[in-house]
Amino acid sequence: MTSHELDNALLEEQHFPHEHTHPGARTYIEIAAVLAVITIVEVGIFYLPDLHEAFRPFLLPAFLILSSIKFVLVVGFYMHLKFDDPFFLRLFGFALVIAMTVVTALIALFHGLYF
Amino acid sequence: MAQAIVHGGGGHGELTRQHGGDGGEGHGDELEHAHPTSTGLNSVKMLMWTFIGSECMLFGSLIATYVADVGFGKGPGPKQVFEIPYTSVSAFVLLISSLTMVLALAACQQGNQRQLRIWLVATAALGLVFLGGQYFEFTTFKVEKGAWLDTNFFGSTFFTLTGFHGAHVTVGAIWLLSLWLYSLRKGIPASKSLFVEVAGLYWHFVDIVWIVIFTVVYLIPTSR
Repeated sequence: MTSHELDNALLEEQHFPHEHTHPGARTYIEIAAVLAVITIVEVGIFYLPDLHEAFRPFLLPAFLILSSIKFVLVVGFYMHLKFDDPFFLRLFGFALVIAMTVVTALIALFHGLYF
Repeated sequence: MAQAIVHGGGGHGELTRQHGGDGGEGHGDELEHAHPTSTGLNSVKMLMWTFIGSECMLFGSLIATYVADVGFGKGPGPKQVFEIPYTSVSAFVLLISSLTMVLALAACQQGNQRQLRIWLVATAALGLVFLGGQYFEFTTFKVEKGAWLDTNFFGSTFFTLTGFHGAHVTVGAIWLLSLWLYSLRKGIPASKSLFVEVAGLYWHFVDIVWIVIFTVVYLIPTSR
């Protein structure tokens, strides 16, 4: 057995006490249904001009909230951050905060052009 | 010849495996002492999450550049170029591919090789459909709408951002097809489901980036 094969064998046999059981197929399909509904709501507004006009002032926050929900669902359930060790969440969250700070700062600087 | 591999340490003990050999089998190949990593976390997943964190910053910078520059210069802008109904189909395809990806992982963890292969190839196929849509979109924008990399700030930042994302989808599709070929040849047992899980993390990351791009780049500018 090569050292690479030994490494793989050891990897397979390790146990990581902080990791919990992942959800099953049923939960994954339910999450997908929620994601699909949110996407339909987001896009549906473009097919209804009257509704689009009526809700125009609220579209920006609505889009941000809806996409945030989709983001959290994918990260939490599909990427298993809800079930894995909190350290992974902190690692990801730290990078995300930096990225969002950069985006927010530039939006604040150039908001007159974007919004 | 005896071979010993020592992992870990750092005050948490050590992981040692004795391998007796002469190239034959049954010569004392036994795991003497196995335990988790010194952090108690899976180091392969740790690597992947660190990589994903760095990718967040990359795409954060690209999105920020788009947001900052989209209003400058002459030429077509988001309202003249984008076709939300068409792009929404692409977004939907990528969302569904995330579902097929987790179903592949679930099948692998249950030891169901047939379903694993089906979901892996379905995920890669959906990724390729997304890429085909992006190619069509880019061509339409360039030929019919006159928007390209050198047209204005909108063109430069939009095609750079979505092009980078498309490149990531391409890498993901190649990765998934490689896993699929591997599963055809040797199979991926439940004990090796980590390989599928890590590929899945990458694929879902590509999906969440598109969730943000779809909202910030497509929906918000065209809805105002």
